Amino acid sequence: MDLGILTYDETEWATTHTGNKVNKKHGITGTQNIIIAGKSIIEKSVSIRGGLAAVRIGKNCILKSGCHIRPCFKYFNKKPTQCNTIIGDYVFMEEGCIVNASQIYSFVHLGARCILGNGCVIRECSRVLPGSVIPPDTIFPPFSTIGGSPARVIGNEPLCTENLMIEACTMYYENFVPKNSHKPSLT
Amino acid sequence: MTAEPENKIQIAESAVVCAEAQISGEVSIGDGCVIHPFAIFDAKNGPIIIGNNCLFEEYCVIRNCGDGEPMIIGDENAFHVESECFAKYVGNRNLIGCRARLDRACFVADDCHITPQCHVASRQTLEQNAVVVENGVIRYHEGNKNQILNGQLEVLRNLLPNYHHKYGKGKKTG
Repeated sequence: MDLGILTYDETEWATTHTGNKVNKKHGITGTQNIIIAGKSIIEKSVSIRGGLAAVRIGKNCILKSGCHIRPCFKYFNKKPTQCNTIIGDYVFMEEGCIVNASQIYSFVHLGARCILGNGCVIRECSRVLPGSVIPPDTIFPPFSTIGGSPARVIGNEPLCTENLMIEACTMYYENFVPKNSHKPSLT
Repeated sequence: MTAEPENKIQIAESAVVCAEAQISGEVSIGDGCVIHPFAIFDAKNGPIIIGNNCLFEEYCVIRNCGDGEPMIIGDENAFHVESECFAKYVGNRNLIGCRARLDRACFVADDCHITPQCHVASRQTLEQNAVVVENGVIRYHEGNKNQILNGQLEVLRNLLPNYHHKYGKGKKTG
């Protein structure tokens, strides 16, 4: 799979020293509770609610526009608390995902406009089909294709998903370049 | 362009309204409500009256589309992320899921649940204990209260002021 080169306007984006590229029109609040490992791309109008609880995002994640990440709410020992959200490495989120999950493992692909309910867990190398609605507190096994509303496992992902996701996310990051830079084409 | 009508916003003392929320027109917010940042209240066409202990999450849109008549939202309702409400009347203890939409001039009674991405059509009336599922199918459930909301509101009331300024006091963040 080859991804085309995407250019962006340098005035609208900020780059951190770990290589994260963040659009300046974001809705990220509570930044002291958010850890993003590096080389992640955060597009326009993404909201991450660090004010509710800690959010940890792994490396090479791609959050496309309109994603909302908000820590989930749970009763622990009959005490209401906001739980931390952990997102693994090489996670690709398409436009308009609402992620209320407690944990997303590595190499997961979330389709456009899917809704992840309160406190659900998605294991490694899974794929969530576009527009699916995952009910609260569900846990899905690794290598599952998840789809429907309410979502269920409808198939299996190939064993090479890990390599595919690494390749896709790294290529997306490398091909995401400022408008005026001259990157040699990958022919 | 006509001059914007003066904003008449009434917020109860115990309500937590984040400064990033957009409120325009005549809106009154009852006791103990929690309004997350980026929620949108548009009362340019008529007032919005909100009861006690309601929860409004990010990017939910509450808009009065009527002709000057007030839009009434009862007690203990939860509006989740990106939900849209153009209804004329919303009762008590309703749960409106993510990206659900209440169309113009619809009427929602008590204890209803609109599941994510579902719509209530224009001028439709939802009776008590209705559950709207996909493709506009309506089911009914036993009348059990949405108990999780009270605990959630309590946590949010303590948590949100640590990271956000209150509406009308101090500058916006984010």
